[in-house]
Amino acid sequence: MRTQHLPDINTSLCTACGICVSACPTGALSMDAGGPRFSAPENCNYCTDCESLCPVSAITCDFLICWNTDPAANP
Amino acid sequence: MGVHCFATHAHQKSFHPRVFLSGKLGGRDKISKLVYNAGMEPLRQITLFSVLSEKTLTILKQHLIERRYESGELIQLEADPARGAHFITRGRVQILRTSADGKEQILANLGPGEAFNVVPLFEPDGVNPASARALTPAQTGFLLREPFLRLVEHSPDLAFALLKDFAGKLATLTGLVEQLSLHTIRGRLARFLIEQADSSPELPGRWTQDEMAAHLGTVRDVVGRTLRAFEEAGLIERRQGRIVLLNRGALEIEAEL
Repeated sequence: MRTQHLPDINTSLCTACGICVSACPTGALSMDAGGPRFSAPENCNYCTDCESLCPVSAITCDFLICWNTDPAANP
Repeated sequence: MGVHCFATHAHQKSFHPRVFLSGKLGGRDKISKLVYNAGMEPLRQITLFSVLSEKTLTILKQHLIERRYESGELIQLEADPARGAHFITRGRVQILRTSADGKEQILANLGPGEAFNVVPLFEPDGVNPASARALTPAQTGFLLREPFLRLVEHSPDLAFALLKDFAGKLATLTGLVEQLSLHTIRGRLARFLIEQADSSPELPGRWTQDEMAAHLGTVRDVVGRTLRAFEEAGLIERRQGRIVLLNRGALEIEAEL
């Protein structure tokens, strides 16, 4: 089973403003004392809204670009 | 692909990229302590060195300095005097330029076997045309300007390998000028996706939409919209952290290949 790739949150940049949590359309993120975290990672559909809305660029959503014929691309 | 040359005039900049780039400049303290200790084989993996005679490679090895960088560490800064060339033996390195307003343009993500900062060594008072940052823990063989130029002077095989590589690079840059002046963002993005998917499957790079935008000379929103359009047309599919290309023929038509 492949592990799920999630947006990366840089906690040293994050100001815990909560925008990502309120903007997440699937409720994958929640806020705790240490800042945002993926409380329901299985809900994340990697829409990248959190990345685009983060005012301090603390969230990055990177993509691997591959062909469909690449065996790794087919779960 | 071998040497990365970026034909720019970075020394004309009125600001220093250090103002914008985060991360400490790494590797410097190690320069006098470390020599290149790895065997010949890793050197043969460097595209530029693969055709060199044993004799040239042996001399070259004596001048190489091994440098190690942590992920995120800066390897060199744009507009600083060009002290030497780097030959990547491990990890991934991002080559980038910074505009006056702090915007980063990703020129390339390089991996083992590739080199950067070779071209400015041939220029009198050459400066680094771009900054370089380790994307992962990385290791390079660093060759200072003076021994490098001496070696080129006395080693026709190295000189010829460099000329061949520069010729290839010139063709690439000519193609890039054509891309930027004649092709739409849609075409450029299609070409970029094909190139990335075709490149080294054993060490694939990862790109954010911001980085793709910087690389293509546009903004994130445009990249996002174009990816969505490709998705709706059935050319690609976005799966959790992957952009999977579904239709090479249609993408090549978009890219005008």
